[in-house]
Amino acid sequence: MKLELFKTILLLFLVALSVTLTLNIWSYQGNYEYAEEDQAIDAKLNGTKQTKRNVIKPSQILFHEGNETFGYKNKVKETEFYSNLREWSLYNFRMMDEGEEIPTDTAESWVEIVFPTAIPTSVINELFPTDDSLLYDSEFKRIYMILDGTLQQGQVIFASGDPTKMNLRASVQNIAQIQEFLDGTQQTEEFTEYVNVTSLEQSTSVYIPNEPEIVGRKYRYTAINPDTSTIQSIFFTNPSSIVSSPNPEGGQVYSDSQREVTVRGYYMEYTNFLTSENQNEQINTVPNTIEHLLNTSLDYINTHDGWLIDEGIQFYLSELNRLTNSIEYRMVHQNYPVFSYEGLATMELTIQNMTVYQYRRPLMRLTQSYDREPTDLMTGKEVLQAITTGQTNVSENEIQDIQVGYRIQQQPGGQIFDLIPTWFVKTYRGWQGIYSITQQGGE
Amino acid sequence: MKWGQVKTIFIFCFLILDIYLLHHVMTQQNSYEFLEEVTTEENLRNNLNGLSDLPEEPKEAPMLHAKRKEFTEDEIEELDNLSGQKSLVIDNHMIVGKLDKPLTINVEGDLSEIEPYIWNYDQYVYYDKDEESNTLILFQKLDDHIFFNQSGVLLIHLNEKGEMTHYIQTLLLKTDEQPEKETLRKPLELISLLYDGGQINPGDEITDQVLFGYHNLLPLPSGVQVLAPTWKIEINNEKVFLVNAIESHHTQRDPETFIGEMMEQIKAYLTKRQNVPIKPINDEWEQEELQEFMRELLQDIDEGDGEE
Repeated sequence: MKLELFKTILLLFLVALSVTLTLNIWSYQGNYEYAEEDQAIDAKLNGTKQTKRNVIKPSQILFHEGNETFGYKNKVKETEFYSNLREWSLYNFRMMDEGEEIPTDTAESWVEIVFPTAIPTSVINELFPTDDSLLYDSEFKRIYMILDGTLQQGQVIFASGDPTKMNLRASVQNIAQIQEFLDGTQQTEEFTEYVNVTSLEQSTSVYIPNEPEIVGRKYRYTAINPDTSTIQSIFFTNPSSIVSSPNPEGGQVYSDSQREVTVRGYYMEYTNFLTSENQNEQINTVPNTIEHLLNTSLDYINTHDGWLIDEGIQFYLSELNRLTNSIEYRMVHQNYPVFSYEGLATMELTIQNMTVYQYRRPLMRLTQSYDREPTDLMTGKEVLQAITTGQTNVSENEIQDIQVGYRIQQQPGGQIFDLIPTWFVKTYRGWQGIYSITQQGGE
Repeated sequence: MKWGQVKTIFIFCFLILDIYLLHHVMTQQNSYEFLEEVTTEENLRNNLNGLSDLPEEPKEAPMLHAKRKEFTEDEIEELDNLSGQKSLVIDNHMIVGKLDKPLTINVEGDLSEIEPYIWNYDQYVYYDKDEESNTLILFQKLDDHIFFNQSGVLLIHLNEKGEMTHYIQTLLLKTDEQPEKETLRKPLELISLLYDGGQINPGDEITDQVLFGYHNLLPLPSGVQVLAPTWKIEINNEKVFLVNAIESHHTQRDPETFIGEMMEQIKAYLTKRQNVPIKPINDEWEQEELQEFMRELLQDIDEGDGEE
């Protein structure tokens, strides 16, 4: 009888074991699927997400006093001023009449806030506190604020700079408080004269700082390896179908026959051929408004946390092109723009039919920075002098804009990126550094 | 059939079923858990040799801030007491010495016979010999090795008989302020990156011990040098990669180019192309004696050996 009891117990044990093992196998498969989902979530660049408010920033803030123009010597102060300005509520928006002039002729002093590109007026209520719902379909490139007390109403003008686009006018609350803030900043901060560049191709005036305070910096950086599945799953739906081959111009090309990523050094370019094939069918169905460009590009970069920003490094909206449906965000260091001849300072997207057709960006992230020996930079007046007398590499009549910023350049040895203060001009070929033909004066 | 017999049959059936399930569970766990590692680490181990003895430590280290040592008057007097040599101090930081009589040394040994001739000899560690210029390279050790830094090196020049004739010495000093520690990447991860990037090929061997040390990152305007934590990885006894242990950037260095750079620098000093103060260590020397010695040194460098 004892043997029978033992056999019963053994049988029960074996049955129980088989049940546990079966359950174990099932639950393990569950775990595995879960892990795979995790991997999909990891298709990120470890940067951050951004909002319109964070990427739409002015490129210049000018203080006009009669015939003279000033600006902060150190451009970082502009961010302070602008963030202060964004706290002031605007109300009573209205469209300006066609013949109505911007009242800067009669005003004693006014502030001019210049944006790098025309921005749709529909985003004003995302940038400034206002109760008004803005249904005007227009754009603005400059904001004028008449703050000398000559006006009781409509002190703020959103000017498009384009005769076919309407200007907007609004009133600001607490004008006295603003005046106080302005007086305060003018006493405590250092200013430099801004020189008006008259003979340019453009109708709106361009100002450049005469003696800007700009200091170079050296940055350590980390590279993003395009070979990892994390990067590839950002751009490809099925990373296992990717074919990688060497790029004839150097670097690698990754392709799954519908999409392609070309990598050259720390620069990459993604192209989605699927959108261009469908282009003809849909071209009329989806109007690519500027606001749509803005939203799609932000969402797209946010999805893979593609804003590789740091304390000293930001990316700001720098160009919106309605004709090519492209949008560009430029790297900014200490509020001065950064320029690269290798495409390392911009993120550029071209959007077709609601989806991203092309995406160009750097594959590196600047991390910790170090002091750099100071450089001799020409003053604004010297730059203009050199240009008008034909001593530089650019001719006067092709210049559209002039800015002082940084040229980003990799140091020999490859461990450091150098940000070198340089004057830049914009021509139809894009941005390029100014250097004098007779002597090296661009740096 | 009795219930007892049925039970026995059941017991056998379940036993077989359980063995099968157990086997299944085991293989499943192996295949899933090590899926990632099989593709990277195992693949690497299958294709490269010499991966068995990689160092695990340190796991974190700071950047190193160092300055080149400038010799004080007192120290120059100390240098004067070193045995049988004529020497110069260039730009207060570099000693170039010539022994009165060539010194027989045993390259295979611990080089201790050099000690009486070199100031603070114990700070240097033998690195390699460059056959081309017949020079021994010793790198300074500031807690950790300092790889290929012109300001922290001892070069021993040998004549054809393998005797020491000249030496060049520089020293680095840690500055007072050192940055915070940062997390380092393991040598295996970095070897994997080199392998993926095509710098190391299948079948290659990691020769020599993978060493931890520091390599130049950048000079600051204040004269301070920033050095990055670095793993020295040698492949097939020929290529040496210095891989930044924080950011994984790599450079390739070899003794021959390094010595070439050093020699160019000394020539620039001695021919006054780069105008820096040059002082004899023995202050009784006349100007003419110094000029003569500098000419001699230049000639020695140009001839490529120390024979007179």
